[in-house]
Order: sequence, then C-alpha cells, then structure tokens
Amino acid sequence: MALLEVKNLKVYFPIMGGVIRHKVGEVKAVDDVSFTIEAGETVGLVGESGSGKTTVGRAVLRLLEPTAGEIRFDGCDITNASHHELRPLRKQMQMVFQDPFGSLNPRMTIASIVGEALKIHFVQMDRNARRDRIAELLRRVGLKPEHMNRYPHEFSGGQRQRIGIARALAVEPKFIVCDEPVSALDVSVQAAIINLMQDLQEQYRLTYLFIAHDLAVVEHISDRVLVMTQGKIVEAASAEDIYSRPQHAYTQKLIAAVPKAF
Amino acid sequence: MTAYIIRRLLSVIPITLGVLLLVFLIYRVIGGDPAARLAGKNATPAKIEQIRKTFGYDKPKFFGFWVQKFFRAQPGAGLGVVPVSGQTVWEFCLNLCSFRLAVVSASGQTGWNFKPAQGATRLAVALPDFDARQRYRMEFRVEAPQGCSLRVLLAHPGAKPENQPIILEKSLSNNARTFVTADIAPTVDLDAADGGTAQVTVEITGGEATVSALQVWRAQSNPFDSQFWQIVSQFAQLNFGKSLQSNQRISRMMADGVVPSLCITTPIFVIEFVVAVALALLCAYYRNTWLDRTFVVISIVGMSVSGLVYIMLGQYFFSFELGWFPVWGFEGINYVLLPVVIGVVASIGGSLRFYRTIMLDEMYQDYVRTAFAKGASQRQVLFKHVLKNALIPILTNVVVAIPFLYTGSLMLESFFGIPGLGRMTVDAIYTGDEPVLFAMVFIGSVVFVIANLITDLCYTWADPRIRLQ
Amino acid sequence: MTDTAANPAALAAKPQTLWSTAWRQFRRNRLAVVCLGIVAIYVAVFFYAESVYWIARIRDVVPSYKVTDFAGRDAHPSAAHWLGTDFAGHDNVAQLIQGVRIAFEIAILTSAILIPLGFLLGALAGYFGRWVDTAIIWLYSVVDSVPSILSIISISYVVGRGMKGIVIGMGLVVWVGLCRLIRGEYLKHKQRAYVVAARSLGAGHLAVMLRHIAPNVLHIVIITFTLTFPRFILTEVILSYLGVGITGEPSWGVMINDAKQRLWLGVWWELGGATAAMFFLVLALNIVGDALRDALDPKLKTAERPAA
Ligand SMILES: Nc1ncnc2c1ncn2[C@@H]1O[C@H](COP(=O)(O)OP(=O)(O)OP(=O)(O)O)[C@@H](O)[C@H]1O
Ligand SMILES: [Mg+2]
Repeated sequence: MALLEVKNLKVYFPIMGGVIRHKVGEVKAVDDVSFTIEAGETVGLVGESGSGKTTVGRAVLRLLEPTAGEIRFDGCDITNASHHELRPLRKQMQMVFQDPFGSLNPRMTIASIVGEALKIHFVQMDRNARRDRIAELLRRVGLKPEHMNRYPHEFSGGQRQRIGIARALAVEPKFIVCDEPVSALDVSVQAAIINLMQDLQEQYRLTYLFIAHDLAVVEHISDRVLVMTQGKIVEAASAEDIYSRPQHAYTQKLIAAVPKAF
Repeated sequence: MTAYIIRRLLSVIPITLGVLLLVFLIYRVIGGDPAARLAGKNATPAKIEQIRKTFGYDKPKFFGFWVQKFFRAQPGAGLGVVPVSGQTVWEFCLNLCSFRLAVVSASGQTGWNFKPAQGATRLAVALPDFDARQRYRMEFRVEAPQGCSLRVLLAHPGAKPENQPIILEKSLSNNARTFVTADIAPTVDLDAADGGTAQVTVEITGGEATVSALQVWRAQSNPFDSQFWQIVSQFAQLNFGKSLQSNQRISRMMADGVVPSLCITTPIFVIEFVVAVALALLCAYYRNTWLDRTFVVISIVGMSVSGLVYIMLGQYFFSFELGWFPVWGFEGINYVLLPVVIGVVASIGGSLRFYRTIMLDEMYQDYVRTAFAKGASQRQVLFKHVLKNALIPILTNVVVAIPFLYTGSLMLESFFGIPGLGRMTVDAIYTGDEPVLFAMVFIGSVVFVIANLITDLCYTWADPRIRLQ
Repeated sequence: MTDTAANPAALAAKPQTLWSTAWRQFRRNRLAVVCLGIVAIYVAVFFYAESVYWIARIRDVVPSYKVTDFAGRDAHPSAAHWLGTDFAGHDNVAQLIQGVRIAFEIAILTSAILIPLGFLLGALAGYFGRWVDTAIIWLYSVVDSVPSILSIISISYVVGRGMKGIVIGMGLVVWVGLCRLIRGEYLKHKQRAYVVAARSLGAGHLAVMLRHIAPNVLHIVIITFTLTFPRFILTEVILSYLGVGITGEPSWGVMINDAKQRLWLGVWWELGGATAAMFFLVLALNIVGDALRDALDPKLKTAERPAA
C-alpha cells in the first residue's frame, strides 16, 4: 500500500475584490493533481517558481485546506480531518522549509525549537531526557549540542537548515516534505545538506517528497520525479526516464536549463 | 478603482453608526443611570423619575417590551427600608448583556433591601399613575428560610381592601434565593379609576425574609421604541436636542460657536503647519548637524511641557504682568493674538518632530540616493523629490487635525473667554450638560470621519498604488 | 565539507539574545542612558512615595503630606519647605513626590487595561483575518474616529471623578494605537515559515499566537508603554483642569490647577515645581522611548500626532 495517495487534489485561493470585498475569482494554485508515494522512496517535485509546489506540499500535510480531492496517508483519509484528529498524524509527517531564515522562530533557542516537537508528542518525556534527545538530534545533523541555548540568528544558512531538519526528525516521522531545502544555500553547502538527508533517509527509513525548482538537485536524490507547471502535473516518470526520454515540452525546457557540469 | 471608491464611501455608514453607538454606550450605559447623574447627589426618587420621563431614559436601551416604571417603597408595618448603594460589577454586566437593557431601578440603584423585623411580613410598593388597562410586571429577589410562602396583592385606588386581587401565590421551597416575576394583567373592572396610585403588596408568611432588586415595568407595544433608535432618528433629522442649562437648541449653539473657534484654531493650524514644515525641511537639509539636533532637542523639550502651563504662563506674563494683550473676551483682533501665539508654541514641538521624521524617512529612500548619485543637488532633491513624496503623510496629518479646528481648543478658549465650541464643551462638563456633550462628541467624530474619507479619496487620485489595495 | 556546521569559531563566545543586542545598541546612545537614569530615579521616588502612603494607611493615620497647617500656609520657599507650602499648609515637595506616585499609578493601571486589550484584539485581528479582522478594524476605526480627548473626557465624566474615571477613560481609548501595530506585526508573522512549522508539529492556534508569535512582538508593547506614559501624564493635567481628575490626592494636574490662582499673586514656585517634576519625567520617557524604538525596531512607525 502506498504511504501517501493524492487524488484529484485542487487548492484554489480566492481573490477578493469589488465593493463589499467578495470573491471575484480564484488562483488555481493546484489544479487536479494526483500521485502516490510508496514507503521508503523519494519523489521529486519540480517546477518553476509559482507553479504550486509549496502548495502541494502544504496541502498534503493538511497545513492548507484543500478545495477538492482526496489525500490518504497510510491508508487513512485525512482530507477533512480536524486539527485534533490530525495531531497523532503530525508525529508521522513533517516538513523542512525553503527559507532557513524564516522557518526558525528568532525568539526561541535551538533547544526550544527542537524540543517543541518533543513537548507536544512525547508528553511523558522529562526535562533531562528531553535535553539528551535534543543533544543527540543536534549531533545527528552535524551540530554541536553545546549550541542548543543559542538563537537562530547566530547560525549560518546551512546550519539553520540543519536545525530545521533536526526539528523535523525529533518526532521520528515516516514522511518528510522537503520544500526546496537547499535552494537558498550556496552550492557547496547544498551538497552537504543533500548528503545529510540521504544518510538520514537510510538510517531512519524516511520517505521524502522532495521539492525543487531545478532538475539537477532532484535527479540526484529522487527515485521518481513529478514535473509541475501552472498547478498541474504534466509528467511523472522515474528519474532516468525524465532525463533520457522527456515527454512533455515543459520538461524538455527544464532539462535544457540544467547546467552541463552536473 | 470605482469599486474602491464606492466601498470607501459606504464604509462611512457603519463607522458613523458605530460612533453613535459608542457615544450612546458612554453616556447611557457605562456610567450607570444617566437620570441619577443629571439629578445630582441628593435628588429624591421622584425628581429622578421626572428626569427619566422627560428624557425618555425609562425606555429600553435598544430593544424591549417593557418600560421602567417608577415605584416607591413604603415601609409598611414594621418594615425597615435599606437602600443598597451602587451596582455590583455582576449586575452591571447583566445589564449590559441581557436583552432587558432598560433595567435600572427607580432609585437609580439596582436594588433595595427590605428586611422585615420580627413578625413584619408586608412590603408595600406604590405605583403612581397607574393605568389599569396596561400590563405591568414586577420582579424581585427573595431570600427566605424554608417553609415560607409568598403572596403578591394588588390594591387599586377605589377598590376596597377586601377586594384585593391576588396576583401571585407561591410557597418558597428550600432555595436560599428565589427570583419572582409577577405579571399584573389588565383588570377591566377597575378601569374607571385610572390615574391614581395603585399599591402592590408583597406578603411573606412563615419567617423573616429579604426582598431585593425590586423593579416594576410597564408593557410597551413597539419593542423598537427605545432610547438608541430615538437618538438615531433624531440625529438623522439633525435635531440634537436642547441644552439643559440654557434651554437653547444645541444646533443653534454650535452654529454660534463655530466662528469664534475657527478664529482661534485656523490661524494656529496654518501658522503651525507652515513653520513646522519649513523647520522640518531645514532639519532635513542640515540633517545630523548641530542645527538639526538643536531643533530636535527644542521640539522634544517643547512637547514635554503641559499645554496648560503654556497657557497659564503666557496669560500671566503677557496679559497680566506686561499688559500687552487683553486677558479675557472676544471683541477684536488683539483678543485673538495671544491665544494663537500660545497655541502655536504649545503644539509646534510635536509637529516639527513628526514632519522631520517623515522627511528623513523619505531622505533615505532608494530613489533619493539615486538622485544624489546622479549628481542632483541637495536643494533639488529636497524640493523636487522629498517634499513631493512626503506630501502624502503630511496631508494625512493635516486632515487628521481638521476635527480639532472644529472642536476648538478646549483650554485656550476657556482661559481666554472665547465663546467657541471648546468653551461650550468645557462649560458643559462643568455643569453636567449631557445633551451638549453627546452632540459635541458625535459631531466632532463625524467631522473626523468625513475628513478621513476625503483624504482617502485624494490618495486614490494622487497615488495610483493605493488603488490596487 | 565547507559547511560551517562543525566550526565553532563561527559563533560568538556567549549566546546572544536579540535583547542583549538591542541593549548594546541602546547603550550607544548616551543621552538615552542618562534619561534612563532619570527614569530610574523617578521609579525610586515612586516606591518611596508608595511606602509613605501605605505606611500611613496601615497605621490609619493622616499621611504627612496631607497634614494641614493653616498657620504655615502659603509659605514662601525656605529651608524647611523648599518649594513653600500650599493653601492648606501642605509641603509642596512632599506633594510633588506623591504626584510621582499618582502618575505612575495612573500609567500602570491604564496600561493594565490598554495593553491586554490592544494586544489581544490586534493579535486576533492579524492572526485570524477574515471577519474577525473586519470586526476589529471596525471597532478600532470607530474608537479612533472620536477625537481622543473628547472620548477620554466623556468616559471619565460618566464614570465619575477620580482615579477610576481617568484610568478607565484612557484605557478604553488609547489601546487603538497598540492594536494597530500588533495587528500589522501579526499579519507579517503569520506568513513566516516558523508559524507553519509550529502548526505542522501540531501546535494549536492559541499556542502559535501566544507562545510563538507573541515573543516576537513583545518589544512593541515596551516601546508603546514608554511612549504613551508621557501622554497619560499630560492628559491627567487636562482632565484635572476640566474637573474630572483626581480628587483628594495631590496629583501634578491638581497641583498645577491649584497653582493657577496663586500664580497671579506672584507665587510661581508651586507651578514651576510641578511643571519641572512633570517635564523631566516626560522628557526622559520620550527620549528613552525613541532610543528603545531605534534599538528594538527602527522601522516601527510610532510617530503619532500629539492630539489637542
Ligand atoms: N495564501 C495564498 N493566497 C493566495 N495565493 C497564493 C497563496 N499561496 C500561494 N498562492 C499562489 O499560488 C501559486 C503557487 O504558489 P506556490 O507557493 O505553491 O509556488 P511554488 O511552486 O512553491 O513557487 P516557489 O518556487 O517560488 O516557491 C502562486 O501563484 C501564488 O501566488
Ligand atoms: Mg515554494
């Protein structure tokens, strides 16, 4: 059984306007998208800026209300689950964010950022156990445990992304949506983060939905690739097929844009 | 764009209604019984009742089927009457939340306690101007020990004592506190004798009891015949009522007061604006030099002195000690000069600092840097770019100040005896002339709402970016 | 691996909170530090005055600043009474000191109304948007449409003379500025990814609003408090003049209004003393407030036209 099944997902954002600020139109951010992700695999999701990738990622985790469609996670339908019903599932699915600066609360220490998840989902854990767990997580993502009382603004972009990964890992999830985790980083740092994510995937048997706006990043890590443009998935194939036999004109364009050095 | 303008125009309606509601809440609800406030400290219940009737304060506040009815508690056989002063917080909240917003007891307080001494079990309530064709309702709370029973009787003028209809009979069970409602239905056979004073008697047998929060209401047929809607319809016809002090029409008084007020506030407004903007430009031109800093210090120092002190010292030195200006009155140009100077001095600090902040904000915008990089001179940049772009925030500030033209300067006018709106307001506060205050606050707000509307419409015309919002 | 994750040299020796950074920034402004010192002195005087008041109250005696001495009334400044005495022989310096107490009490009590009110409404409007936002915007537009001095006077008038009227009047009117600022900040912050991250961990709306976003906007409360404090003091003077101010206690407004008649007899020190006591506190607070804003949030638009 697939870990995640998405059927005919639509997410429309209303455009307000007119005299009494009623709905005068809608942005079809995600328009009839279907795909599945098997446990343990990495699915890449590529598309240009504004094509609706983040929206798909967030809708799948039910951080946005889908307009229509069906989302099944681990066999259960979460399309209309309430905040309360979703709570146990939040432990199994997590997200790593695009912007390493905005995704960490500037007024919280690293320990409380990573520890938040533990406080919510491991209620029985006491203070010391939590500290040890945070230290272990930080070590695991390549940070020093003694930095846990620091604030995010003291870290570099790559380090912050590692903190974000530690936060996602804290609940021991099965599935992580990685929303362009490296696109805001230097190329050299990008490789390090991607390697880390691959290591973690092997160690914890994670399933990834890996979002990126260029094929080069995705190709390296994904088993299958979905190509998205203007809210629709135009091509879905294995990573090799996408490269060797691109079907859709848009995919061909994306490939042409990849620098030859890769 | 058109949609925006229409929306902006329409938004005036809910805001104006809201303002009216707010002022209404302040004067009719927050402060407790307005009739008691108007009547003063040692007023008799009858006086309060009369005020309540004259101003319609006995009607429901927003909506309701009952009008507050006046009653007088008569200490009957051995009954001691203990008035409870003030409202408790809880009762106040109840008054706010419940539908029966009209509930305020006749004494201007929420309750009276009737504590029967030994053996005494009767409480008589007098209802003046009783109309037997109307429905009445009486409500009160009883605290009594177990086994007591309660009877409510109506005695009508003209009727014999043995002919008293029993309105309510009730045995009080174990509750410590019971809320009793007695409906006094029309008694047709008695209608020959209306206009007199009826008497309702509460009889408790079987123990000592306390009756509190006793209120009497009369039914009214139109539930919207209420204080708020009365004001809405009156104000819609531009009828603001009459002053309690002079018995003049308030609209008349306002029309008379506008001119003296404008004579003071317009020059202050114009001079202050010109001087403050000129100084702010100077500060922007010489930014971060000693000149700029001196002005900043002066303006903060100026802002830190109470306006009242400027007026007192100014009047004392220039009018009294030196005798350059008249102290009091409004008879010629020289009566206006000193107030204007004081007004400008007192408010220029804040304005200067405000305009300077705006200009410096503009100064550090990218386009200004670009202009400098292209070799434009300080002066060119200042006048061509900064002033032009700072115009919008400056305009806002100016428009926001316009209502103060109307409300006048409260203190200046009352110190120098200028018969404007400001002094009218101050006098109304001193004498407790609530209709005048109500109207002043409301009209002041409406002027603001309109001024604000005009600015926003000017923006749309001046700055295309705003249309997209 | 060129990632600096493992490189401890990239971090400063001690953890730096944003507060400590702001404090360093603040300290660079010499004038503001001096003014902070002045405010600290006033705070000390406030505690002293409060103790004088409470000791007298607990012992159930007339406090020293209220003991009338009609023989020594209207005295000129002397060694015993630095600023002379008033019409009932009260020492003016002692009264000024009590004035500090009243000013602080007003500021603290008013803030106790306006900060929760402004913060909560602003947070709800900014965070939830939609009809909640529309309703709250309507509410504050309405309150804001009434010229603030008129609405404060009206509320103080109907509530009745004294501290309660002043506090309720100002508290129910002045929250609008704070509410606007907080709403704007919440609008900004709810878009940030850290809020989505907190939601994705299963945090509820209340937790996100109060535990995650609130610390990020708390500095606005501090700046607003410092910058509205002077406004409370200056408004109290006007309310006292209009006869809806403090009664029975020597507030600065009461003193200035009492000094009004005697000024014409050439008694300037009473007015001068009260004005100076007010002046230094208001000035210091204005400068500290500005410096705080520059240190904590330079882009914050707190500039408001001082009304009436
Ligand atoms: N909350 C929202 N309200 C209205 N429109 C939105 C909202 N969020 C996203 N959109 C619109 O939906 C479309 C898809 O946005 P999305 O963020 O999913 O793109 P993306 O593929 O992630 O782009 P990027 O690579 O820049 O992150 C865009 O046109 C965007 O403007
Ligand atoms: Mg995105």
